[in-house]
Amino acid sequence: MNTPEIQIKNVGMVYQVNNGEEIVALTDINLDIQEGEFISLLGPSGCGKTTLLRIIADLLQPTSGSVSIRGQSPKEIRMQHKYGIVFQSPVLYDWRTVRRNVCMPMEIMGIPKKERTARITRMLELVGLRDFGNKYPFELSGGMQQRVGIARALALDPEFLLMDEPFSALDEFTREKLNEDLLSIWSKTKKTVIFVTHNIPESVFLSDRVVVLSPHPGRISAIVDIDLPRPRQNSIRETSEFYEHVTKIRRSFEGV
Amino acid sequence: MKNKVINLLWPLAFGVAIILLWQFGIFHKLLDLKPFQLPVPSEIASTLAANLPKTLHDCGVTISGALIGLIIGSFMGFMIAAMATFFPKWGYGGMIVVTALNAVPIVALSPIMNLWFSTGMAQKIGVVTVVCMAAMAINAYSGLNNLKPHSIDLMYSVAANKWTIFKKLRVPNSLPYIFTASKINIASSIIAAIISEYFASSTSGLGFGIKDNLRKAEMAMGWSYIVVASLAGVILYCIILLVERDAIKWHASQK
Amino acid sequence: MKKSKLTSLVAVIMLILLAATGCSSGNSATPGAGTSDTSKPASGKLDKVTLQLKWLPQSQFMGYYVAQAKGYYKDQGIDLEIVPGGSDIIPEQQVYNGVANIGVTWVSSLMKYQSKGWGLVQVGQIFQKSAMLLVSKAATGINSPADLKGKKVSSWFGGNEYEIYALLAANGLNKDTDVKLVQQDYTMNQLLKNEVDAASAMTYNEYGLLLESGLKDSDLHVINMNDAGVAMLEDCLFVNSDWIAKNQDLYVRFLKASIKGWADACADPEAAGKVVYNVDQSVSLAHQVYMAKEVAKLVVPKGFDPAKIGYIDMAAIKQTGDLAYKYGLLTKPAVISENTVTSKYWTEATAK
Repeated sequence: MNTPEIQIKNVGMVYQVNNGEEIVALTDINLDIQEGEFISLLGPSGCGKTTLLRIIADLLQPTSGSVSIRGQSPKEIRMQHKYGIVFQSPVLYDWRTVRRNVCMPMEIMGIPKKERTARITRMLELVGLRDFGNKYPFELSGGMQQRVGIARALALDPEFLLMDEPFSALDEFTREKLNEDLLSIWSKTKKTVIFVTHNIPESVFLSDRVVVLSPHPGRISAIVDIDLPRPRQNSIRETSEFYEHVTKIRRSFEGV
Repeated sequence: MKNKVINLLWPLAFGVAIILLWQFGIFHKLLDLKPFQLPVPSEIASTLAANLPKTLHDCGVTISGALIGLIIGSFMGFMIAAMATFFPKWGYGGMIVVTALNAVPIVALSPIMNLWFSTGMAQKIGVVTVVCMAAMAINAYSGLNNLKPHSIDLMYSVAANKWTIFKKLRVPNSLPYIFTASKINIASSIIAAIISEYFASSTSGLGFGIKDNLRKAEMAMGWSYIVVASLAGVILYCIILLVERDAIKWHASQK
Repeated sequence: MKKSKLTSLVAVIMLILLAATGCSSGNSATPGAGTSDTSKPASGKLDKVTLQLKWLPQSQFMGYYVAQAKGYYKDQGIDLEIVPGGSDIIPEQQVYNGVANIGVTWVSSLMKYQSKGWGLVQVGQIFQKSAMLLVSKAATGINSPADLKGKKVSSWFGGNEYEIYALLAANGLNKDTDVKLVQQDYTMNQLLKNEVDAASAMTYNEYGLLLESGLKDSDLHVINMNDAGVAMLEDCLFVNSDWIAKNQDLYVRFLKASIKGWADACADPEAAGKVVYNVDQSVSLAHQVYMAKEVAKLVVPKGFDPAKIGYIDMAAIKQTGDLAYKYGLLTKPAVISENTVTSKYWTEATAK
């Protein structure tokens, strides 16, 4: 096995509450993530999965332990624009068209205009929004908006992609469609993906490995390998292997 | 399209009805007023026509003072909001002061400005500036800070600095709020300019014309000034609406 | 967004209302509506009368306050309420609307309202002379009206500017091109701070303010409208024509008591100033006394018989009307008739 791309060592996160009480959001997290891997952080609310993602993204500082990404700190990685992030909500800027929303991170990175234009076109093609480049966000459905968010994250050609429950606000049909599309995008780009979700079938469908977290205090309670064959289509959800994986993960919660 | 016409027709019909009731003395009967107390529209119109150059000149004086004050006040208000955004600790105190300033009545402000400035124009601009500054600061501060969840995180994730966040996120986000403030300020700047002219050391402007003529029993002339003041306010308001429609067509209010 | 449109709409409406209040400062109260026209002072039951002043309670109106304090109105069977004026209170409108029964205003201003059709009639003349001055600092070098050329001159306007117009015109100056006229506030700060070269001042009030601010008579140059031959009459008494038709006797009784009060006040201005000060302490006792002494000179000028207080000098009325017409306050010559100015109640009130 290669050296892992991302090494998470003994990470802990403790919040001080106003009355002096301490809340342990994460304790003793150890996790290695390989290059090109699709990994899910799965758990109920309060298990610290989003906190862990934000620590990797350098949007939060852990109170103990460390994260190393290709030998660099999360901050160095962030300053070099080496990851793309997709949030729960699409976070599109209302005043920008779809193209200019996708363009936004590249502007800040100082990528030349010609290159930006080419990448935008490519990314919109990739997420299936070729004809929507000049629309404003309010003219798009929720699913389309989230596709724009993914295109924006991929446009800066990051080394890995962080996704924080990106489809949780969408209806089931749209979610399954986007799951499938995400896998197809991923297979074309081969980026490492860390995907936060509370939806068990979603995590099984997408991932190479599912990291199961449990709350109070937030910790890793199981890591489940998903050895379903790729490429995966939505029809795989109807197979008994898929069902077995889902059941296995669900049982691991019941044991908590 | 048909709806638009109907939406326009109703207020128009209402306005015409009011003018007719006024012209034919119904209001006078209801309120027990004589035509020399409340001149009828036709008399106001003919008085206005006869004094149009003077009235328009006075209107120009008032509106230019109001607009200059509006621009200075809006700029200062926005700068205060920007400062409060960049330096939240003491900037917040500044916002509280501005909010308090917003509560000072214009009638109290005018005599103060008379002490500070010696010409009518400077007094007027001073009053309008203070009035507009408050509304702009409060609204712009909301616009610069009421951001969608995660929009700052997104900027942070691509290592954007404070200035970039301000320029690319906060300022465009504040545009609808700035238009809201401008629409409030258009009306209040004209009111402030007119009231300041009640007290100002000058003899031009709509405010002086209204006060002076109503005191001297020149009611039709006074009403001519009132009509011109209202028209000027409506026209400026419409201009702002048009600019807004063009500038923030991406905003929910413009759908 | 909808809300902000509404806000602006409300603001525009407020603007209109705000302006409109200028022509109806009064409220709906109509004192004196039940005033009886019995010819005898009712024993025990007093007739209510409301007097609208042109300005704030001050010695300018000391005669009414002295008469009130000494019970002269009560002796005449009158319960008098004195309503102070202010910058946005117009006595003509108050009296016409019935907010007050009797008003104090300047003759030229009354003539203007009469010419516009307001049914008001002048029924007494308290000030026999004009108190209007144009004051400048000696250093400015305005020694005569002609020196006003090119200077910045302030007036209260709203009808108070016509003596100045007359003064300028009488001295060959164009009010629009030869001087810069600006609005004056109710202090003398603009003159004190040299923001204007010459300011309007009443002998009994603003001139005193200048002296109280530390200036001496010798520091100031004064143009007196009486000397310049452009004097217009000021404080007079007037009533609504409809009201007086039903309340002749009541008004005569009011006038009797008022004349008695004015006579006392002019005989002892010091005491009168104190009476006014007891009513309103917004200015100092010294200023009220100063004002009382100056006002006494206007009500009973040198050589004027105190028994004739309130007398309407028709020649002076005519001069006021002529000047008001000549210098643009009136658009047609003042109509001077029994319907606009009458001495008959004064004659009755002063008859032995």
